[in-house]
Amino acid sequence: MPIDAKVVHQVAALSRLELDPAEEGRFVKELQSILAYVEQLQALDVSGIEPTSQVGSGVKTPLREDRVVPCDVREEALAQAPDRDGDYFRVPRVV
Amino acid sequence: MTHEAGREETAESIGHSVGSGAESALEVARRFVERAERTASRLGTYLHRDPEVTLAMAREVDARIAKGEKLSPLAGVPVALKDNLCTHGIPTTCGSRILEGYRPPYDAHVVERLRKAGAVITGKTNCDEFAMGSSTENSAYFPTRNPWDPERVPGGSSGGSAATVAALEAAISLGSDTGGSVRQPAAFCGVFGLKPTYGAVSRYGLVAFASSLDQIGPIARTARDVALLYNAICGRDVRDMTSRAEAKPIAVEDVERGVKGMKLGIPRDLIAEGVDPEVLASLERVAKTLAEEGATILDVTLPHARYSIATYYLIAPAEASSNLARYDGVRYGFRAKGASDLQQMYAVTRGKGFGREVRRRILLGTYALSAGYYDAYYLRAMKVRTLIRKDFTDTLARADAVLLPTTPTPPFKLGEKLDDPLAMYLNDIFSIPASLAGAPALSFPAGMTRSSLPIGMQLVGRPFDEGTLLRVARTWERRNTDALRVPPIAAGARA
Amino acid sequence: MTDYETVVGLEVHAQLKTESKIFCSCSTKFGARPNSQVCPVCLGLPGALPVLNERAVQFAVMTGLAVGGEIAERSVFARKNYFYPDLPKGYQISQYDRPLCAGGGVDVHAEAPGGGSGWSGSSSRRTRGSRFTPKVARA
Repeated sequence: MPIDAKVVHQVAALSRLELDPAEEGRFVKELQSILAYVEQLQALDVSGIEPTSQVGSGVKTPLREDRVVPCDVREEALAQAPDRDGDYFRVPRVV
Repeated sequence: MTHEAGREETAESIGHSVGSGAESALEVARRFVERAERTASRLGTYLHRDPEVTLAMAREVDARIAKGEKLSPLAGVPVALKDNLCTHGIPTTCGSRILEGYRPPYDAHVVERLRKAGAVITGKTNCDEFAMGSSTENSAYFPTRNPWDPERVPGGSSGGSAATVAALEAAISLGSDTGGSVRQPAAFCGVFGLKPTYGAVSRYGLVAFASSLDQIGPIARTARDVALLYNAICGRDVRDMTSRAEAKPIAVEDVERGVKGMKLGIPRDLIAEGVDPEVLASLERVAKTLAEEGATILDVTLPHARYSIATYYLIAPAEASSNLARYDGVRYGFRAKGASDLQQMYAVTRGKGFGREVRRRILLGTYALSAGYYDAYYLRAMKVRTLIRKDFTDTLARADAVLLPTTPTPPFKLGEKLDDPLAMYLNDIFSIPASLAGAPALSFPAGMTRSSLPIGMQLVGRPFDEGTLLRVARTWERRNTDALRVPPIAAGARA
Repeated sequence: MTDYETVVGLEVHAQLKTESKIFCSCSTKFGARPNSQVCPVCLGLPGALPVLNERAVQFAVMTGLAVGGEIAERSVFARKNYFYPDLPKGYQISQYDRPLCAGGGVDVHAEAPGGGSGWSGSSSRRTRGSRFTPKVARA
């Protein structure tokens, strides 16, 4: 499936990455090259094969007891906020 | 006590001398700090190093010993940590500008374990940004240089961790391995590097790159040191649902048991082409030696392993695109100034905060996951992953371990592979298969090229059978005259 | 006009009465100061990992049983990726094509207004057979 500048734009928007127009052409070429390489997977017969999303699945899931454990990272975390407003992390206007 | 260029200084020997009172943790720490002062800037091994903090940790260890506390074999041992491991109050940047100045409010599980064990942290080592790369040239800050030839790369992404151990700035280190990022730099720097079985070491506090592949791995100059460090970090952690109780410490004496009766499989189909003749020669030497020691060498096939790179470079970027979504400038790290609204803030922050390789992989991964492409790319890659995994399961029913080179070539020059990302990716052909399978894999030093560059060989084993890999590597180590060689830049460093 | 049938879909979000959050051990108590019941996991700090609350799973199963649904012995959590400031990780850990419960229904009894003309008798409507998947509440 060919990737072109338009697709790269769309994908960049989806992943919230502003691309420098100067590098756009380069990204398109590189991604085309990589995608051309991974095309080789299309040749394989994978019918009936289960996908592996996690090795070690099939093990009983270790669940956590529903118990509150206090954690005191609050101050250290808020202190590193790029824009802190008291108890809040402030962001530019949403709309 | 004399130390000829620190040649004999292993974690094990330091642990003994500190534990027995022959020397203090502070004396050891001073020695390593002084070495780092001489070589760290030239090599670019550290992103963060604070001698005062290191010495303070050493003093604390001495105080604990003085109180009669029984400490671990790693007490007083200088250990370096890759900069994608969270260290409370200590900068953790993952080699990226987007986390410049970020200080985690908590320690990673492995860091907690090392502190408890009395290890002494030498600093946070340089790495490819967010662990994406095979040369440490993708660090947003500066590259790391190979101690054996500073015009060459140390490998990546854990280049700093491997180089700092090779250069004796630390006795041992931790890196992380997703597609080869502990093993390949270990090979390039002439040291041991282990990627444990997936789930053997808790990832809590390891900044995620690809969650189904990432593992924290020990780097050391001897097989026994790898075992000691692995023992200090392995096992179940309730904060990581994927960590497993099956991962048990390895008895160090077991590492000496030799290879009589073992079967080692060489996947000739995978190493058929593109491998440097000196690397192949090293493989033959290792195989011959192990056969002399009583192992049987078999030819095995991993029919789908040649699809590993394609599989990995769909799965890993897909997972990365999701794992890196949290770097949005909202709660921590870099935020672009002057954005008119939230969406612009996101886009500019991430566009400027992430380097080129990271952005490339996020784009690739997002594309592979997007509607209309998901089935053809990500889903298909996950199915091929099943096939690759099965190849290993089948092979490791016939053989105790698979033996193959760690990399197709010796260390390349800085800048040599930067123009073509795909050319860089193709270096990982021998390391990626074990990552996809979740199998334990160990790189061990296997001689030098004629131009004195390290070559590494690799063993891949059954789940939670790291012990077997170390036994094989130790057997070779005993016969290898290059063991514990010190690179020129670190030699002549007086006690 | 009688050829048309009105179908109303209800997406119901219900907060589960667990002590701690779904993926971390922070308190779920309402009314505390903003950002005071937080930890590396729910703040989406680098390196943090989710650990699933067993009580949340129990409640979801109970809900599925209560409405007569099917409980899956194996279900899958997936990531729903999007960007929003109240979504620290940039994704929601959710269930998609292999949920914990599916099917089942709830009887809704509705009375005709004024009991008069225009209504053809049926006063209750079952939702059995429609896809009813109680999603586990977001942290």
